Amino acid sequence: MEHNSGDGDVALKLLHTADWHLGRRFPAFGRDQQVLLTRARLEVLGRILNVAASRNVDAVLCAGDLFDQPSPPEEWWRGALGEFARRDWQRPVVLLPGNHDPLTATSVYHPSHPFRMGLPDFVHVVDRPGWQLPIGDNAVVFGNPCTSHAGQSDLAEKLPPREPGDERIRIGLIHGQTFDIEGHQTNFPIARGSAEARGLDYLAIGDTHAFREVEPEAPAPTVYPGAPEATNFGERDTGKVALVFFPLDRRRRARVESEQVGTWTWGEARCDSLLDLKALRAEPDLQHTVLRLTLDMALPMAEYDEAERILEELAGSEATTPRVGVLDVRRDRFRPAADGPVDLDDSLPEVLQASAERLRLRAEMEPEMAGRALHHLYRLSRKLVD
Amino acid sequence: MWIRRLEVAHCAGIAAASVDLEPGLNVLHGPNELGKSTLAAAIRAALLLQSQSSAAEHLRDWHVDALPEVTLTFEQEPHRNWRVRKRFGGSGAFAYLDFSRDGRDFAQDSRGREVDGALQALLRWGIEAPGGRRGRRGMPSSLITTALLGQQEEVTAILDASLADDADESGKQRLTEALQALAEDPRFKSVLNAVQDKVDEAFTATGRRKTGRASPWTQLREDRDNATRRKRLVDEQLNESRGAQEKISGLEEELTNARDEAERARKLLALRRDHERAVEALRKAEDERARVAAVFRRVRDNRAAVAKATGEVERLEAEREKRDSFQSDLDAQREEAEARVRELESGSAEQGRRLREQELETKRVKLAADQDRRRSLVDALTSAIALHGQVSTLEAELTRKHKGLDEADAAIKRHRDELRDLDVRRCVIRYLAGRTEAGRRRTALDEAREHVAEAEKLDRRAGELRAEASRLNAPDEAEIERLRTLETNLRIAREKLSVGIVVQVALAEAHAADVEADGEAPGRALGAGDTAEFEAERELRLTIPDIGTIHVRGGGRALLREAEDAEASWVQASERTFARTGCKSVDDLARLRQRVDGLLAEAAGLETKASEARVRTEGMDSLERQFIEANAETERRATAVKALLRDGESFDQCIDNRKTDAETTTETAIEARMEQVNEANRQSTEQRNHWRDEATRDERLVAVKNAELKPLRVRIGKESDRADWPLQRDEAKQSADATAASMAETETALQAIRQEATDEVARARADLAGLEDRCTAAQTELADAERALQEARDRLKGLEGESKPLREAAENEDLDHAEAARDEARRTVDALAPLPGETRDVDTDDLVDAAAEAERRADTLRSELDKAEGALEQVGGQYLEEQATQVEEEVDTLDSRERELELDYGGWRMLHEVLEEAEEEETAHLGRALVKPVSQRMAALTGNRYGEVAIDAQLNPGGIELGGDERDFDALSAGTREQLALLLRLSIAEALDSFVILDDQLTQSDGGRLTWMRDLLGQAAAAIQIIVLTCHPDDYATAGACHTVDLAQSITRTD
Repeated sequence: MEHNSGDGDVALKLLHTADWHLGRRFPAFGRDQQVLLTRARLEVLGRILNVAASRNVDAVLCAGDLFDQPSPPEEWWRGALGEFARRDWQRPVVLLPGNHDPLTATSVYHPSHPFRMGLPDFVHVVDRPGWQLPIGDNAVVFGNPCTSHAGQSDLAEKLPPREPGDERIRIGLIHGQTFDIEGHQTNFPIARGSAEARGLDYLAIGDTHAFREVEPEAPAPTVYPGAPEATNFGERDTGKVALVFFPLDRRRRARVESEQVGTWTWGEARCDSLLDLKALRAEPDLQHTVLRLTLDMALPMAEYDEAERILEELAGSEATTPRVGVLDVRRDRFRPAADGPVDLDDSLPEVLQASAERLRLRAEMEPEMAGRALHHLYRLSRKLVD
Repeated sequence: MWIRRLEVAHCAGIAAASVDLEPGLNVLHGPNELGKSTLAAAIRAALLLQSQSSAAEHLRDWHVDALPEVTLTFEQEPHRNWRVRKRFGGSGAFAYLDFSRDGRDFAQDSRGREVDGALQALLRWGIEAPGGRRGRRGMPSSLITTALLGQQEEVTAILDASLADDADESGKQRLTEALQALAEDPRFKSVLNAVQDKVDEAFTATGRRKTGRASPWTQLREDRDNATRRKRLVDEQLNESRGAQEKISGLEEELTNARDEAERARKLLALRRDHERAVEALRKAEDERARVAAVFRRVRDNRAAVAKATGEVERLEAEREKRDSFQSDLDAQREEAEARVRELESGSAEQGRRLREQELETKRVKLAADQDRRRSLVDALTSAIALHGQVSTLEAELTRKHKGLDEADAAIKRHRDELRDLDVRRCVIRYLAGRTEAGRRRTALDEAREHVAEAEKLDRRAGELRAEASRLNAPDEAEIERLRTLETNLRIAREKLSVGIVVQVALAEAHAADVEADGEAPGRALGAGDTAEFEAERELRLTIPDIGTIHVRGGGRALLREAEDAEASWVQASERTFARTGCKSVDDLARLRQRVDGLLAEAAGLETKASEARVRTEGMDSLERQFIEANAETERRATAVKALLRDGESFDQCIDNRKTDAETTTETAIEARMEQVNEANRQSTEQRNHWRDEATRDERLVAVKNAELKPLRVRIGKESDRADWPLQRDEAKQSADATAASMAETETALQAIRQEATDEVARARADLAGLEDRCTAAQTELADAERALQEARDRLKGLEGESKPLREAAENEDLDHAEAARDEARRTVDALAPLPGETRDVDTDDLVDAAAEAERRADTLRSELDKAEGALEQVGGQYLEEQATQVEEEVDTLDSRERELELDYGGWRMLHEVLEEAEEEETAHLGRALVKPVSQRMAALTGNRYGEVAIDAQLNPGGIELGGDERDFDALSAGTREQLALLLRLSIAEALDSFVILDDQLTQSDGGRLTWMRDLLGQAAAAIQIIVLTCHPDDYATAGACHTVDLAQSITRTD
């Protein structure tokens, strides 16, 4: 890929994005955290459009899966409308239905849907096979929408080939999967070499959540921009959009750059000791981190209590701001050591001491439950003493 | 519990006594022998002894003939007053138990033997009810009676008492309850309450999980149920999707196999055809080579034949020359012989004979020629007749085969017509089925849209209901319960104030007065000197203008404060809630809550229905697509019908005409019929091909026979009619036979003439004949030679005539080329891949059929694959996999949360159980609860000389700590033991909130300790009633507020 072309040599600039998944649910998290993550998808849309404005691109191409489902709840499509409505643009924004939000009679892209009806004039929807949109006099976008959640047909094959004498910059816009992703069921497959076969200068595709250029050595780039905000643990190279520069010299290949727009980082951590947990607490800048924390330790009561307090600090409460943006704690293997000392204050009534002893005995049969009961007792006792 | 009044009659020297008592310290004093202890015994008897018990004998007043009677009035708790009336003795005995709320008006509760049972039930002092198992005789006693009703002579009996000796468990139970409360540490109580609150959050009183909206399980359960429902739905769709995927994989594999099979069949067919073409080419090349070789062979043969014929001609010319010369010699000899015969036969007879002989000879030669010609004709006719017969037979067979061919063609046409008709019917059925399917899809889509509309409507209505519920600002159940508790507290506090007030007012001057009794009652005037009496339950306000206001309230300061606190709490808690809700009572709030709960339940129900409606619409996209596809399919099927329309037939006519047929038959039946017709058509085609091949073969045979017949017809005569040929042959045979007969006759006649010669003549003639024979033979030989020569020449000429075209033909032929072409064709055959062994014997047509079948199979599988892929598009494929993963993760998370919640609340519940167990065990040791108050008081009494008192679980005191060692009570002085016993009894009475009777106690105490004890009694009397029977009232004169009763004024002795 060439990187030495300045903007002065550029005939056309595009911003290519995909896989916003607006309205996606995150049921594995708490309700507030779900809202936070779902809203992050809407917020990144604003940042994407800001990048398009600041980089003064000629068009914005959105390659499918913009909504997580064909008919998302109103707040999400209305939020997207709000982002578009804030812009008084001439530059076209092209929305392509993907396999998550296929073009159907009830989808947001249907002409009768309030979302579609509320779109400003500069936003276009790829709403039929054979769709095309000229961008100026020298470029044209060809699009082909998904019309179902699954399909075996290659939408790239249906893009028109370059006619003799057609010297325009030709851009393809489709949603689907290239063949070279291992372990993935092929859905809307895109054959290798499609860009060249269809006479395209750039093939903008969506589906995979990682930024990736397919066939980097091919004459025309085929690019997945990835999801602008990650949607799950284990996703890499997310949070980006693709900026595409088409040189004036038509013999040269289009240049593709990635630009960061996402703010959330998804990560997993494991703590086997209180020290690990303290070290995690000391880490800065976790406010925009979605952290899956697996705890694997049995701690004496005082340490367990401290660990719980650290977890409360990380997760936040009604009174405190969370240290971690979104925290998902896996505590199946996190428990107080019920057979250890409880260290109740000597001034406490004997009956409480006797209760602690009884719980320790019950821990032989029901260690988890008794440990939890001991911790409750420990906490209440601490309040009495304090 | 406190004793209000004691009345005694005819008891141990007391004729009558009546004592009113007060709460707090009561000092009943009187001189010795007045009957103080009798009063104490009367109280014990009233509470413990059955009226007919012989143990009451000690109450008997032997000075009078009357049975002892005791009436004891006591307040068990506020507004629960009891009066026991008993007469002890034989037949005159009675027992009554009366109840009163106000302590004035009593109503009978029970009588006779029931009284004691009822008393023990309400006192719960550990006394066995009448008829009990132990059946002790005498005055019943227990640890509590010993503590509360201790007798004068048993001052320290409490030190030896034990709960273990009680006849009944009720005393222990009551003490346990009382001492638990006493022993409970407030910090423990706060912990227990906190734990109880957490347990109450999640569990009902019976330990089941709470199900209300405030329950922590509810939302989780609802979420999990929803997630499980979604998971079930997605799993079903996923199974469908995976099924479709598996079907696609299977079909793709089958399709690949089928395509391979088709390709293999095509290749095999092509190979077979290549083989056939190569073999045919080889055959042709070999034929060509053979033909060219034959041409050259014929040229060579012709050349050899010409050479041979030339040699033969030359040889025959030489032979003829030799024969001719020999003939000439013989002619010369014959002429000589003839001359001699002529010489010998100079007569005319001989000449006549010779003439006849010559004629006969001429005739014989003609007849022979004629016979040859006729026999040749017979042979030609015989052959022609035979050929003609064969031709006729063949032509008849040919006619039959042409007829079969025509019939097969007609059948094929019929089959094709029927197939077309069946195709039209099938297309119409498919079109109508497609139209029906489209209608059904349309209906399903409309229903799904209705479900969407219904879900939205339900959601709106649920939202309205929730908004309405929210507007009502109803408090939650906890708040209502709290208000209800406060209201109850207030009511109870107010009820406690309802002690009954009677105010008598006597004014010196008449005044108008406002009287307000319990907040009601109009004002009234008070006359001068009148005594007015006003009565109220709890409060009386008398306002006399210019004089002042008298405000009387019942219940004492403590209860008033309690009531005021309760009211303040109630107002503070209820004011804002009532203002917010517009309600005026807790019942209103409860009804409001009920209404709100109803609205929320209705909203939840509507939301559930909306959710269910949405679930039913989740396949709407599929339905839309199915509807569009069904319409498109119907259009395709309509197009298929239109393509089959007959000239002049409209589409609607076609559909209308076949609608009934479509309703009564099925596509399967039609396809089955089509298969039958196709099979019949295939058979007819085979039949037609068979007849055509047969006819072609027969036509060739007829042509061959006709070609063979043609030269025969030339010999027979072209104009001759075939029908005349048998007759003509018979005639020719007869002519030949006749000619043969004529020849025989001629030869016989010739033989006869020749026998007529004489010897000499005969010899000359014989010589001449011999010569003539020889000459004839030579002539014949010459003629033969000439004929042979001529034939040889003709043959040579023929051969020479053939030579030119043969040479010319040979000049145009190239044997080398033909051989090269043959070799090339052979190499081509050899170069071809060998045919698989199993197909070598298979007919090419079968290979064609197999290839077509493989193609059809591949097409069918492609069609099925398209359908399966279409089905996969409907259910979602990988999108669905993602949905399944997401919902599975949701279920796992909710499971994990539920486990965590179970663990957390399970921990709270276990902690609660353990706290209660520990508390129960702790307080089951009743002695521990008393150790502290008794020990502290003992230490205070003795200036810390003594330490902790040992009291066991059965409240049996075992010793006391002195100087670090535990000492037995026997080691203590009588006074100390007496003081210790009193402290213990006092502590038990305090724990039970009960009166205690001290009958002439502290007689062994010194002044200092007596003062301390007196002060202690004064303090303790603030909480319990203490009845002191003493003959030293001054000992208690400084004990603070006390009710002193001079028994000398209350008791009337019989003596």
